[in-house]
Amino acid sequence: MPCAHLVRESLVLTQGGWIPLVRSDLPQEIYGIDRHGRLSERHVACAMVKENARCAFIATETVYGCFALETRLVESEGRVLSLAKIVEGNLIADLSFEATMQLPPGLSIDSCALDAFWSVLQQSAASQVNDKYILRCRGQRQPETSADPSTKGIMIRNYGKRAFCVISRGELENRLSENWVNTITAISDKWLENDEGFLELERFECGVGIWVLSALQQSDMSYGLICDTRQHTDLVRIDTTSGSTAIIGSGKCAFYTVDPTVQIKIDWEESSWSPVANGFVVAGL
Amino acid sequence: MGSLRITATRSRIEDVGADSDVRVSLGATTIYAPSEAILQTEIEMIADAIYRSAAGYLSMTRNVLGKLSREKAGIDRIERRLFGAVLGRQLRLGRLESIVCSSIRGKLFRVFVNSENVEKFRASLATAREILWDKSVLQVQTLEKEIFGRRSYNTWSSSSHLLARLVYMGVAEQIDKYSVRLTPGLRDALRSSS
Repeated sequence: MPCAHLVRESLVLTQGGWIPLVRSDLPQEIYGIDRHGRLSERHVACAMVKENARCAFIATETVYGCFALETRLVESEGRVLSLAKIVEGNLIADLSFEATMQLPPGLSIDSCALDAFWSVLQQSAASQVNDKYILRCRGQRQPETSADPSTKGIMIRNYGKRAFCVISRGELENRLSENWVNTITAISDKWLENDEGFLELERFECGVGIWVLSALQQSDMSYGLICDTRQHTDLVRIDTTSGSTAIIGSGKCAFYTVDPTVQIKIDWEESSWSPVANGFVVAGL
Repeated sequence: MGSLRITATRSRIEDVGADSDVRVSLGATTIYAPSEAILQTEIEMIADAIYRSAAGYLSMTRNVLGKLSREKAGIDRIERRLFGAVLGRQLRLGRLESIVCSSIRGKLFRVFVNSENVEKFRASLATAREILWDKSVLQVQTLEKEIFGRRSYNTWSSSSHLLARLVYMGVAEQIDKYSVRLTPGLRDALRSSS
């Protein structure tokens, strides 16, 4: 039976959206690529392998995320490489990967995906009260928004010298289930756009970043990711003014992160099927 | 003080007696050396000096890390690009972490933390955040006393890095280089929301 190693921070694609494997004891139905290259759902069994495992970060022009060192990714020319090999060998600049960000038809964002999304906002927030997150806008001051329906759940407020995006979880959950693409686009425009016109995310915010990238792909918008350097990045910037809509993205950055994490093993039955995690195609062992 | 025989500058290949065929790429930088052995030995020497220099302090800027690394390695000069490439290698291998901070003028800068000190940096950041919420204004010196007890080399700077991180997060606003205040309106925003 094929298997693959992921980490708690890896986001897998389900009918409910992008989710981390936080409940590693539960079996999951997740999406992957079948023998015909089509997105299809399969049952996987999950098990925690070890705590205090190391984690690797990888970014291409089109996708990014965290994996286990043992995770093996399918490169665009069909070669299979482990993250350890890519990082240790400093190979990232010579590789390119296919991105699979298209979400399944009939996607209905579930509570697990929403919890993962809110937990990122919680970590990023300057402050939080009840279900409201107050996030510093990545750009400088902006005009404050009035409480009209188009801004429901997302407001701009100027505190001191800076602009803040106030996101209300209750109101936003309804908007996300009605039209996730528009809602994610509104959040990224208001919160993430910096003064250079890029969408700016901290590295740990990939639980939000993957939704932003999915929304861009769903809208057929071209974009390119910018990392600090090839060897490391703190910020991931999304440039929506250039780049391409190409599915194949060249490697931008790969490194080991400092934080220990939990490693999770997933098993499935069909050897011709490969799971999708963080938008990358993962090879089975 | 010794000098290095590796270089990241093509025009210096002859100066250091390097061979253009003996090279390694670290990120976007190519490093040249007279032999494979020297290449490996000197990169490791700089890498080790960076790691050990960062180990003794909570956080430091690139300039301070460069100065301490030169002293530790007993080298009078490390080319800026060469140092950047080896520093990048340490970050790539997870031996160091970098943290984004915001300067008084709103410009972003990064500080470097040894992987062994990351948890302490985060705990200190949580302490700084708590004090700021409690007192609304926080001096670098007050935080320094709280985190380190007594002053020693780089403790004032590390305390200012913690406050600069809070500024990046939007929790604090810089008054001057010695102090920050809780972002005006943030406390009231919470009261009106609750």
